[in-house]
Amino acid sequence: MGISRWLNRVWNLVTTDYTGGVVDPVTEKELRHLTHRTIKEVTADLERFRFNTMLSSLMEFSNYLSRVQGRGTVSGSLWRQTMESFLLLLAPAAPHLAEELWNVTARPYSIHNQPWPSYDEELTKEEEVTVVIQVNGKVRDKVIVPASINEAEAKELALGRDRVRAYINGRKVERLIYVPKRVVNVVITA
Amino acid sequence: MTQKYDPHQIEVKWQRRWAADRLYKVRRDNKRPKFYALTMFPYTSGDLHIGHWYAMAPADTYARYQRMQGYNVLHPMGFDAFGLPAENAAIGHGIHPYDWTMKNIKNMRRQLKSIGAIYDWDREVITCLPGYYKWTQWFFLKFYHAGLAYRTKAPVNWCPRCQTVLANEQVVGEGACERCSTPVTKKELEQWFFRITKYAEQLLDHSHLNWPERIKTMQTNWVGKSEGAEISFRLEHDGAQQKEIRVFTTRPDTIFGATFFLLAPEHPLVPRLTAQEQRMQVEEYVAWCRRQSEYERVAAGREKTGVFLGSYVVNPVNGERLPVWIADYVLPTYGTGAVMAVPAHDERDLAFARKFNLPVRTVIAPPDWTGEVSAEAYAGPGTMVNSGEFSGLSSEQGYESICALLEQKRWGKRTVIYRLRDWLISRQRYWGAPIPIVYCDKCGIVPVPEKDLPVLLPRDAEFRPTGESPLKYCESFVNTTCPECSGPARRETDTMDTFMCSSWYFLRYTSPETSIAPFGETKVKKWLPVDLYTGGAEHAVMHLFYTRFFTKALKDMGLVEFDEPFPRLFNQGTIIYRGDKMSKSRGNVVGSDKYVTSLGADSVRGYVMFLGPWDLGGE
Repeated sequence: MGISRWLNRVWNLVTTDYTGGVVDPVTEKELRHLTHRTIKEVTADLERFRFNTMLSSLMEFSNYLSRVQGRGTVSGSLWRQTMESFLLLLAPAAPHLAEELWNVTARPYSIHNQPWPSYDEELTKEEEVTVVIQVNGKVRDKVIVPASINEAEAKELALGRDRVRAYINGRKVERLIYVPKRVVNVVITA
Repeated sequence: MTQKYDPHQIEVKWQRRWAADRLYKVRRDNKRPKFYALTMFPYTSGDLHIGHWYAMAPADTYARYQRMQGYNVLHPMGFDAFGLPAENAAIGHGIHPYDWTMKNIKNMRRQLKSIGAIYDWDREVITCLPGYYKWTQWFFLKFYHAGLAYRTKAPVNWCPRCQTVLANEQVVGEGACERCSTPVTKKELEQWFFRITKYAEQLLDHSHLNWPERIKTMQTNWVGKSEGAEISFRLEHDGAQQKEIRVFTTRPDTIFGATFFLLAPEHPLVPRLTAQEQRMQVEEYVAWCRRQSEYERVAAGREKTGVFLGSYVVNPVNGERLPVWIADYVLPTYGTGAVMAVPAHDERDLAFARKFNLPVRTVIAPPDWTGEVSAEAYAGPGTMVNSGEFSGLSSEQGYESICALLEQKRWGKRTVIYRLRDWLISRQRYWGAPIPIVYCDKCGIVPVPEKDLPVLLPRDAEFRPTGESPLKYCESFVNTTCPECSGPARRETDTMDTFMCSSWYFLRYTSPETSIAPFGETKVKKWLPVDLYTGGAEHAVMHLFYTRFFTKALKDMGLVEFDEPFPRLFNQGTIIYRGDKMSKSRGNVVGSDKYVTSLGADSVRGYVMFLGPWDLGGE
C-alpha cells in the first residue's frame, strides 16, 4: 500500500535527527508559508470530509520537509516547531504513529489532548515575485507571478506574452535562459 | 535514526496506554461545548471487514479533529444485535443465537479496538441484552398508550424463505425480500403496526435538515403525497347499507372522461356488486390475483387483465352509467381501492379500454388537438372539452371548479393521500425483543405493566422457522396470568422488528448505565440532537425514516425536546468488491485483520481514506 510507504517515510523524517547548517531566510520564509498553507488546507478538507485530499496535502508537505531536512537550511527551533504542527495535523488520521513520534521527539503526553494548530491567513498567501523577461538580453516585459513558479512554467509564461511574441515575430527561439524567480531570457536568431 | 517503523508494536502499546489512562473517557461535566458524532452501529455479523473500516475510520478521524478543535466529543460504539442472521446461524450450525451473537460481539469489539478510535467503551450499547430491550419494550408500551401501536388483520408481505413478515420498507427491487432476495408474497395475518402514517406530513418536512438531497428525495417519494379529490359514485342498485363508492383521483378535471369504473379485486364491495352470472369468473380472477405479487400487478407494460362484475355506478356530474370491473393493477392499499377510469388521460386505463373494447372520450384537449381520440393517453394540462358547462376552461381552472361543484353538492371533497403505510413491527421469529402484550379471554388485549418489564426472551425455545413465532411452542413463555384479572392468559409470541431497537440507541449512549429509565433526561438534554450522523445511504427509507418518526412521537409524548434526531447527515459511499456491495450477506467481504497485523491500523485507516472522496465509495 502506498500509504504504508508514506507512513514509513514520515517515521524516518521525524526520527532522523535534524542538523541545521547555514540558515537561509528565504527557505525559512517558504517553510512558514507552506506550514500555514497546509494547516489551512487540512482544516478545510476535514470540515468537508475530504480525507483523501487531506492526506495528499500532508504527503506533499512531508516530501517538502524531507528536502528541507536534507539541506539543513532552517534553524533548529523552526524545524522543531514545524514538526510539531505536522504531527498535530497527522494525529486524527494516524493516531498511533502521531502519538509515538510525539513521544519520541520528547513532547508531553498525549498528542490527542493538544489543540488543533491554527494558521495565520497572511502567511498562507502565496508570495509573489517579479520576473523580468528579456529578448536577447534586453528587457521587454515584466510580470508578477507566485514565488512557487518553476522553470517550465516561467518559460512557458515568457513565450506566451504578447510583447515577447512581437519581438520573436516568427523567428526561431534558440534557447531560453532562466534565473530562478528573476529572469527569463529568450534568445532568438538575429 | 533510532529504529525502524514497527506499526504493530507501537499500536498495541498506545492502545493499551490510552485504555489504561482512560484517555477517551467522555465526561459529562466537561466544560467544553459538546459535539455528538454518531456512526451507525454495526450489525453483529461476526467480522469487521474493509467496508466497516471505510465507515468507521474516517468518522473517527473527524471526531478526533473536533476533539482537538476544543469540543467535548461523544463518539460512541455499540452493536445492533437482534435479527435473522443469528437465528439462521443457530439453525444452520446448532448454536444458540445468544451465544453466536455474543461470540461475534467479542470478536468485533476486539477488531473495533484495533482501529484505535476514540470510542468510550464504557458507553457500549448491545440491543439484545435485557438491560437494553427492556426499554425497547417500554417504548412499545408508550406507543401503545399513545394510540400509536395497534393490532389488526391485514394482508402483509411474507417472505417464504425467511418465514416471516416484512415491513413494506424491507421489500426491495422487484418485490423481493431485502435480506434473501426471495420474491415476497401476501398473507393475511393479525399483526402489530405503528401508526407512522399519522406523521406523514411532518416526515415530509426536511427543511431543517442538512442531509444529502438523494435521501430527502427518497423519503419524500416513500411518503408519496398526492393531492386530489375524493368523489362518491352512487351504486345503481342500492344495497341495504352502502349506497355509494368513493374514489380518489388526482385529476378531478377529467371526471367527464370516466367511461368505466375499477375496483381492486380485494375491495370489500366486490362480492355484493357481482351479478349472479359473473360470479364464477370473478371468484376465479380474485383467487388468481392473490397469487400475484404487488410488484407484478403494477408493473408498467403488463398485459391488462380484469373481469366485469355485471353492475354499474353513476357518475355524479353527468348521471352516466359506468360498468364496474375489477383489475389487478388497482391496489386495495392505494387511495380507496377504487378508480374512476379515464382512458383518454391515463395510460393504464387506456390499455385496459383497448383490451376490453371500452369507450374512450377525450376531455382535456392538448394544445395541438385535432379533435380525434389520440393514440396515446394525454396526461398533461390543456383545455376542457366534452365536459358540459366546464368545456373551454383550462384544466387548472377546471380542477378548481369541479372541486367546488363536488363540495357544494356534497358529492366529494378535496383531499390528500399518501402512499406511506403504517409500519409493520411484528416478526414471527425468535431472535428479537418480545412484544410486551398479554391476551386474556376476559380482558382482551392487555399491555404488560411497566414494572413487569422486561418480558424475557426464553433461552430454551425451539427456533426452527415454521411461519409462526417459535415462542408459540414455548409453553413456559406463552402461559402467564392476566395483569388485570389474574386469570390465565397467553403472551404475544411475535417479536419486534429490529428497526425498533435501532430507533433509539443514540439516546441510550448518553446514559447506558441507567436502570430506571431508557435514558437520563438531563444527559439527553446535554448531548442531543446528534451533531453529525454518518453511515450508509441504504438506510434511507428504513432506519433513517423510522428514527425520525420515533423521535417525533417521543417529542409528542413529552419524552424529548427535539423532533429531529440527526440535523446533519453524511452518507459515505459504498465499497464495491467483485461487482457488488461488500457485505457478509453477499459473501464478498475482505477481512481487515490481516492488513492490520501486517501493515498496521494507521495504514488501513489511511488506505480507506485515500480511496477517494468519502461520499463516492471505492472499489
